[in-house]
Amino acid sequence: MQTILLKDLEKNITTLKTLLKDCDDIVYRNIEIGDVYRVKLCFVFVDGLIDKTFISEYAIQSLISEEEIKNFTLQGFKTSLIDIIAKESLATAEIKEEFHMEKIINFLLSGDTILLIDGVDKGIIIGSRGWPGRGIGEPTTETVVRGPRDGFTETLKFNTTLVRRRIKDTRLKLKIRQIGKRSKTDVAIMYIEDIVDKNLLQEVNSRIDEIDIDAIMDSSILENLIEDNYLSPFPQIENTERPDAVAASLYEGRVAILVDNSPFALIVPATIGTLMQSSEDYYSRWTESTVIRILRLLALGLSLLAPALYVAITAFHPGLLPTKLAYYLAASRINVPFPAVVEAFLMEITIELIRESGTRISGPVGTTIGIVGGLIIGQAAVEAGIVSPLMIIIVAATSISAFAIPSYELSAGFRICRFIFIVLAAIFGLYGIMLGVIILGTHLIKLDSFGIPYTSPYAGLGIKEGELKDTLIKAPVQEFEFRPVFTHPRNKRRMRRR
Amino acid sequence: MDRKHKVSNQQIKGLVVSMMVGIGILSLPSVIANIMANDGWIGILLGGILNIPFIIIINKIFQLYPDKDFFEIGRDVLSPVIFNIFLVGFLMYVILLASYVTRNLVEVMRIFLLDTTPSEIIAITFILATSYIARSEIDIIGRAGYHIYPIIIGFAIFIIIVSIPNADFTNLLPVFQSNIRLVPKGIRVSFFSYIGFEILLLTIPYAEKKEKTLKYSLMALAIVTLIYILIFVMALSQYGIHQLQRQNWPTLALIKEIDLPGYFIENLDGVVMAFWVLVIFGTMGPAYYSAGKILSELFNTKTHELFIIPLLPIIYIVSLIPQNLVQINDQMVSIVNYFAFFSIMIMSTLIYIVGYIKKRRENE
Amino acid sequence: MKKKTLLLIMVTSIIFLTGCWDMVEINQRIFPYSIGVDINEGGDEGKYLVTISYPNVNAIGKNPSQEEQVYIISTTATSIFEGSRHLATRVQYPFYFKHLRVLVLGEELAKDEVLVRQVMDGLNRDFAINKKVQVAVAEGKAKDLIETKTERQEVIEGTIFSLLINDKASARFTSQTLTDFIKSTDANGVALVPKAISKKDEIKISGGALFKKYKFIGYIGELENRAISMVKEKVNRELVETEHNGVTLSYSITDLKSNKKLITTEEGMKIRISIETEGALQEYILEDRPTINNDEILNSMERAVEKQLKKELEKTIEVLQQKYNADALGIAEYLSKFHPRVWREVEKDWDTIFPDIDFEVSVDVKMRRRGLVR
Repeated sequence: MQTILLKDLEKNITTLKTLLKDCDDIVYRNIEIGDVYRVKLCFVFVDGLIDKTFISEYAIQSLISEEEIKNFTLQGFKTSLIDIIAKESLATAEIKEEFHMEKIINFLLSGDTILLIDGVDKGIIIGSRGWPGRGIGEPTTETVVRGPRDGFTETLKFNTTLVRRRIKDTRLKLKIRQIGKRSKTDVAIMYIEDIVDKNLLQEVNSRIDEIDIDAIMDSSILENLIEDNYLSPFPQIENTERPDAVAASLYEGRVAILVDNSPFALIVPATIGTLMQSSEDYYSRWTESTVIRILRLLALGLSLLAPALYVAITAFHPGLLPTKLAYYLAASRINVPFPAVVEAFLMEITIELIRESGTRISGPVGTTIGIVGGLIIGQAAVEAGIVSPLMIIIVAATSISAFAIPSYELSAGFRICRFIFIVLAAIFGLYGIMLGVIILGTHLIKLDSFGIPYTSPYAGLGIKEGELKDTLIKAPVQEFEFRPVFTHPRNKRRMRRR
Repeated sequence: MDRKHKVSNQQIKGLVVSMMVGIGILSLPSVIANIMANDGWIGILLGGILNIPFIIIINKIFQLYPDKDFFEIGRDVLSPVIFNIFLVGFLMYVILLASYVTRNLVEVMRIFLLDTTPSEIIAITFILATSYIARSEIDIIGRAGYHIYPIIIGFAIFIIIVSIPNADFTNLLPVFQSNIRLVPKGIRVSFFSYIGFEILLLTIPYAEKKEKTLKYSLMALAIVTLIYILIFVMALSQYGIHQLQRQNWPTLALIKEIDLPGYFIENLDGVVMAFWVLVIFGTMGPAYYSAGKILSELFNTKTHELFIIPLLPIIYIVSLIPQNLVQINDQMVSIVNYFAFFSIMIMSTLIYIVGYIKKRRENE
Repeated sequence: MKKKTLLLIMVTSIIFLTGCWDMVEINQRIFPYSIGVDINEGGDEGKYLVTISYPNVNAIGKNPSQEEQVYIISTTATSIFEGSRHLATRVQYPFYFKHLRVLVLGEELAKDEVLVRQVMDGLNRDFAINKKVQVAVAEGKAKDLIETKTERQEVIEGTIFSLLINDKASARFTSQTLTDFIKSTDANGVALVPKAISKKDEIKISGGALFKKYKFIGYIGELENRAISMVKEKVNRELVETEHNGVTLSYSITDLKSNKKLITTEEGMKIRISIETEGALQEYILEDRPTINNDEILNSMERAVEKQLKKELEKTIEVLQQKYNADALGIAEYLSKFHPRVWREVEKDWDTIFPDIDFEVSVDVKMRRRGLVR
């Protein structure tokens, strides 16, 4: 098999055609130029992946009308033909020369146009990537009231641009590599050279190097492949649709990984603290952000424990309730045929179903499913006496709390644990819940994200006064003189106070 | 010695506090009140002060041999045979401590939360839950201690604050009235309520900044002393001396007295009980871990993980040996204390003295 | 991986093969709120007659049924817990005592020291019993008191409880929790428990019952109770009436401080009790002209109130010293706390010393406000 280009155009085209057999979307456009000396040229590109007007106007058109080529004679060296074409004739922005067949095909399939010239053993690669893509829109998952509204799209180039626009610094580095033996997905690793911890960068690179997979469909697959503990229900890598979030974390000394075809960028390392933060926190006033963050923590607790606590308290320790509440609860449950556990499971499963169907069917129908399902099922269940009204309140509060957590994956992790907690509460009451807390806590404490404790900065490794300014409370911007310590940034100072 | 794992000084402080505070915080006020009456706080204070030399000695050992871990030092200084004997004592002590902690948890749980659930089930589930953390390395243990630490502080502050409205501080009077001959007896009890700092033996070699460990471990001791004294004072001012002497677990009983009208939760004892499980976990986890570590040293294995599951039935069986609460609080406690004294106090002092002499000779 | 799966299977099987030992649904428990203990006069089955009252949860909630709101059952028993076991066979669900609010002791039972001690120990020892249980003594039988149907029935926590905790408005009785009872006996050997009286369809809490070493020794009236409360600084609001220039004067106490002081003289101990009160004029008489417009009249009113209070206090002290020989004023507690040396000497013979102690009472009344009119 031919691995490099030959001087014979025909042979090159035949090789290409055999390699790309049965690929009917490959277009071979043959032209001949030159009045004195006829040169055969062939443009090869994938139909639909390139910007056709661009190639026609600035490549084919300009080649055909190029005066110098018309008058080109064989007096010059053969090699100068490619120089003339590349340097003088083609009016396109991106040009590369390549002679490896494999690489040429790689470029071809990525949406570049290959120009093969008869008598030259090199091909010219014209950057012509232009496929139908989604424009930059507002991110759907992390909306903010105040703050930038642009979000990532499926096109890597757009995404890196969006980040680059926020960091006009020579030290912002961007390394693109291809992962996936077949998919050849472009993966960009971004970091700011003099802030990022060298060990972290090395760790990211080595983990990505180890990947041996045929295709990467989305950044989530890459995420799973480079995670520390893939069995854990909790995400150890943050993902975001927001370029401003990526830029901000780069400034904190973290590393961003952007994957082509995925509007979600990955940020490492991630900790519980960072996963519980939203971009909005940094754009609104510190008082509000602090209150919201405390509320979020409460929401986390509720979404994890509320149904389990209901079971534990009603079925094991009604003594914890004020007397009046205990009596009313007993009265409201008097006709309920099930034990509290069954009741809790029934309603939790129902609400999960409503949530799931609402997510899959988006738009107005989804909202309707949510409201109708929630309201009607809840109402009917109480009317029928299958569940007690308090259970409905608890289930509703639980699922609302779950949505108050910014990271969807994190909240999903806790949501799964919720069912285990219900079971534990049904066997041991409050003691069972505490057992669950011990096991879950141990798991979280044991988790690492790229060498950083998952629970930092609470983990107390190198704790400093400034560490807690951006955790449960969010201090005013004036207080953030230094970058967070948990990422071990090399350049520590962020600002100088007036 | 494995250099991969690091423990920060803050973690050491948290770990020592969480290891020390455990059963003591529940029962100490009435135990000491039964001996020294109103002057129990003096006993607690003196017990804390008497522990300072041992903490200093442990820190000094590692200053003599800054590059070695505890097992290497022990073997070098005391010769492997003698050191192994001490290690066996140490092992017995940590296993007994873990069992004692488990048994106490079982008793308290059965009284306050689960009155018909079999003790065996409570014991085994708790040991099983703890075995998860015992399998990890010292850096994780350090992190765990550091996370339990604020819970302990919060637990103590909560108890103190909620009991202030009902407290009658004249109950603290009269002071300095107890018999001076009772003081040694009181100190004996309170002295051992501080055991738990032996985790320093396994932690200091991995400290990030070794020169500061002494400061942080003494800080931990001071915090625990303060917590114990404050809890004693609150329990005494709430109850008066006689009712305090009657209680098995005065700290929990204290919570039972609290009435916060209009709150969502009325009887706080259940909630406090639940949080106390975490406090106990802070003692049990490191003890279990130490048992595994010592075994791995004795059998010279690479990791201690293999020993964690075999240790489970041992701790379980030992924890169910005492017949009743009186046996737990008298016999079991004194056995634990003897082993603690033998393995921590005597062993570390011996290592330090012999090591110091050896070092001097080398220098000469 | 295999090991992990095995462990997982083991753990889950432990969880699912075992039961849920303590699980009892909240609607399948009975929450008694008051318990009455009497002496069993029939005498054949045990010494106690235990009466338990609990709410009918069907009658609470959104659509209350028209059934009986409170259920009351009673049995004879050898101890109160044995009694609750007896009763448990007669009701459909187990009892859950965590929400118990009131313990009523029958008068006859209260006179038996051993029985009272047993009841107190049982309640103090039991982990489910709330230690904030209010203790009261029924004039007559506790059973009758609990069975009294009042017009305005309090379903949730029981009428007796609502009456008992309403002691903030006056000092005519002083509510005592179980712990208070024990603490007070520990410190002084004496406890003062409110007395509950049942009339046809009314319950009244008035005055108190004196217990000495857990033995009921007699009742005291409302005014005596007030005097004791003053000495112990347990007065929140109280109205004092006295004669002033032939007119009834009402003085409302808003603030009260009490001090005890030991003076050792050659004849023996002397205790000085000084009470300072602040308050307002509540009611006098409407005259044609402003009457209360100078210091003198206010001062003379203060003197009148002082005199009245002093008289009450002295009378109460005499009753306590001579009639009951019960140190309800907390003198023993005061001595043991502030004069431990003195206390050590007198501790053993306190019963003989107490009646002979010399008391000196001084009352200082301040009338800070005179209301809206002069």
